[in-house]
Amino acid sequence: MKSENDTGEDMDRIERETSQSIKLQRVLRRTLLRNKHSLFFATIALVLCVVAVEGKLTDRQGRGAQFENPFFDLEIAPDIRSSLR
Amino acid sequence: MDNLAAGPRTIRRWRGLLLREIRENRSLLLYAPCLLVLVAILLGMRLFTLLPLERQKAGLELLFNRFEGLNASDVAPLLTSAGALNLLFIIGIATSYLASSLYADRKEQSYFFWQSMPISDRSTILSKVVTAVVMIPGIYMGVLAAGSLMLIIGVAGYSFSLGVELNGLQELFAAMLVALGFIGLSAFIAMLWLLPAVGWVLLFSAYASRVPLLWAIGVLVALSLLEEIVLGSNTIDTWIASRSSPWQYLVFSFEDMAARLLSYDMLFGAALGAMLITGATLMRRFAD
Repeated sequence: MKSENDTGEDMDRIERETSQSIKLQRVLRRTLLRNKHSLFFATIALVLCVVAVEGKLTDRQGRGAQFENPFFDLEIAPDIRSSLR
Repeated sequence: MDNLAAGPRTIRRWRGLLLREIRENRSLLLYAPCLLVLVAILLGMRLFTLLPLERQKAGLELLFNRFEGLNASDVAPLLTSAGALNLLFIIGIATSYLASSLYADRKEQSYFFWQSMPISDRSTILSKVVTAVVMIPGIYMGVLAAGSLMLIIGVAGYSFSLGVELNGLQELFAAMLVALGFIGLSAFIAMLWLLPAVGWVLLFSAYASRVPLLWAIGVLVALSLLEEIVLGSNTIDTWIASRSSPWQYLVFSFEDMAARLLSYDMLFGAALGAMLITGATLMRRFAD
């Protein structure tokens, strides 16, 4: 059972959060969502920032040039290997 | 009661959205895979018939004798590697579809019609993502399976007419089925793995006023170049290079599927793709 005081606090909290959410929506509409260009650049900037931060944190290394695979080894018969050379 | 009715309604809506994508892109989603598989089979047959008859017979004998008594799952990776070229076709079809999907909506102004329907932008964009990630590989694999079946029947019939004993036909057929499963899973994993690219192309499809695919590639190259010149770093290149090895999405075994799907790289790529797809969804609110 909630007292009247508790219910009043809940209502205040909900009102506060709702007004904050509306304020945030307004700010977003005025800035990022103002037109398609601002949204486009904001999306690309956000993605690039995330990639840069993740790259730094995980010390990401390029592996595209390595064609070694973890699933099987390709063993070429010695006579064919010598003819390839 | 409302909750009970919501399930079938959602399924009906999604079925409608996916059927719409197939109807609007019939030539790309249905005819292109059929033609590609047909051309590949005809080209293979033409190259084979260029050989003298004795060598054709020797080749077919070698094929059927090699497969005799072999375990399908042992041989399937070899066939999967040979069939990996199909992944390029699938990725090519998906890229072409994604680049034109939102752009065509704006160009034809059918976008306004869909805006008037009780379907959210999020559902529309998600239906396009599902089409690229699930439907395109699924349709292509269906066509490839039918083509492979016809090819194996044709090869068996031709071998029989040449007097070649079809000793390993059963094993060859089993290996082909397993390899088709591997290629299908590889295609699905590849599309999930390439989710950031899916989002990137969709974003440009929603934004660019002309040739979205060229813009998508051009901007990526320009950003990479700009980073190298201005910052002296190569984060974008490193990120692309770290995700561009085909071994990251080629499937040769059914055992490690859960580990692949839940790997850190896969989940991070999915998160990045989700950001770009959200950007494309929000972009739909701005009419040209």
